[in-house]
Amino acid sequence: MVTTRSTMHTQEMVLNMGPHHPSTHGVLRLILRLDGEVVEEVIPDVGYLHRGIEKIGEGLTYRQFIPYTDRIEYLASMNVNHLYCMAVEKLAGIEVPERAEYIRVIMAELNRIISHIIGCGALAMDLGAFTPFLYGVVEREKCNDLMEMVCGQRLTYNYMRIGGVSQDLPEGFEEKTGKFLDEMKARWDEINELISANEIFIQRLANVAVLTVEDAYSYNITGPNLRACGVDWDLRRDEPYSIYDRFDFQVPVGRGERGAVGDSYDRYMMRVREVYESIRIVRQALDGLPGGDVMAKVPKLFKPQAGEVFVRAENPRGEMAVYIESDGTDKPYRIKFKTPSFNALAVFNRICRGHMVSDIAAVIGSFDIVMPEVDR
Amino acid sequence: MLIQQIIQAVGDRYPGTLVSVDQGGQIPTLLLNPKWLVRVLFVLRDEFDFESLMCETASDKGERIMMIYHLFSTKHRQKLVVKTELLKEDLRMETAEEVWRAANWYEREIFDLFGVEFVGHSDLVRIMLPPDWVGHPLLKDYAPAPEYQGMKIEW
Repeated sequence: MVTTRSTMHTQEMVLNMGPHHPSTHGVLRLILRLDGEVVEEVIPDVGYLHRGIEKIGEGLTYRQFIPYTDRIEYLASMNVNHLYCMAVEKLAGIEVPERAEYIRVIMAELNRIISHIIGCGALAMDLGAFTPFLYGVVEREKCNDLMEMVCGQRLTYNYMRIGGVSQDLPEGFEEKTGKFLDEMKARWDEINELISANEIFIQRLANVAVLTVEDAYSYNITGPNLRACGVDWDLRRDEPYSIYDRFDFQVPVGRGERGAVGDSYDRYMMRVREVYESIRIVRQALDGLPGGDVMAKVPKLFKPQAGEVFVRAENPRGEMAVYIESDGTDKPYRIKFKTPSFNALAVFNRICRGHMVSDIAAVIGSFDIVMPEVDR
Repeated sequence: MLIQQIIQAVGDRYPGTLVSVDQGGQIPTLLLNPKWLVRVLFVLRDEFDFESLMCETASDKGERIMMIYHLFSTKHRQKLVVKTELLKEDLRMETAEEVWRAANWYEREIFDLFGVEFVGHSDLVRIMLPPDWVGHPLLKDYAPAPEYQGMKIEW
């Protein structure tokens, strides 16, 4: 006899998922209200990693704060470095040398590639496919070696400075990066072949947690997650910062390839496609890399004039923005980071209702949530 | 052009709300009276296509708390800053949750770190710090409690 939901007797249950759960990508706790295995309500409980970075920033000089920006999002430190330095430069009116701008874009895009490797790999791993993650990590190691060559660090780079970058590219960097990009492209084709058309993978992601354009705007979901809803918007192209207007690249937009527009599969595919575009950007930047200085002349005692600045940049997880208020001293009066994962987590309760518990892991992975960024 | 229309619309419908306009900075800034602020935000969203609230935050200005809203309109490619000042004796403010859903979590964070109470908010509890935490760390005069749950930090 087939029992249907209407004839079954079910009892409401509250289940804790996290803060120590392998698929919550860090210390995220989700309180799930369940009817059988169907999720009725999701209440994200965040703050386990709150370090008070904004308060710390008020007590440090503008330069001293740069290493802290690495720790806001450890998977894309270069991008946060870039954002923070751009904001301070805008506040103080500093011109960055052209070579430094090229190096920044190369680093930011390399970081985007390795961030998406982890994003897509971890998603596949949460759904039971372990191999793509390991294949991806092999390439990530090579890129970490490149980063180490440039700045001595493998994860929290602390490479960019107010007015440029800390040191010029080492000898042999361009050839090694070119080689890495070739290998990366081949490997990404392979990973893509392994999972993107895999029926099990598609079944787990297609039509799961569909995000509408209205919700995306209302919750201020940005970056690949917004583009997955079919919105053609990328800050790098539509509001170019740094020197992004010099490069030719496509902006992938969600089309609902395997289900509805804006489902988890679309969000995954955005990241897959963006890696190819980032490879193109790095290649163009390497080809056009000019000579010259990598640091502008910035006074040792750095005091920007009083004022405020709001700058946003396209980070791997969406638009990250920084708001700095200066009172004319050597320390910021107020510094605020608006982070994309924070908004992505806020929308969970709205889009996860009616799905199974096992889908929650897929949704977290598809939004590519990174907890230090949420908690700051 | 758009900014002129906004100033006109706000001035006509809610006279006395607009305190000052600053167009000299990076982004045009409106300083408003807190009383009709959320009504104005509705007007900005519905009539001037500011469909996203990029950031909502606050800043401690001594006797007052400055509330700062960063809006963006994709259609007009226009950023706009809306500010309002609250006296520290009466830190209450109408919630913008009904205008943009993103405000829910932004306002929980402001409540947690600045102590601003949002009237009409659906779930105003601390988000970053534990619920039994004392004080609001982003206030300039904040001093950490000597002890939390039996844990002490020697400075």
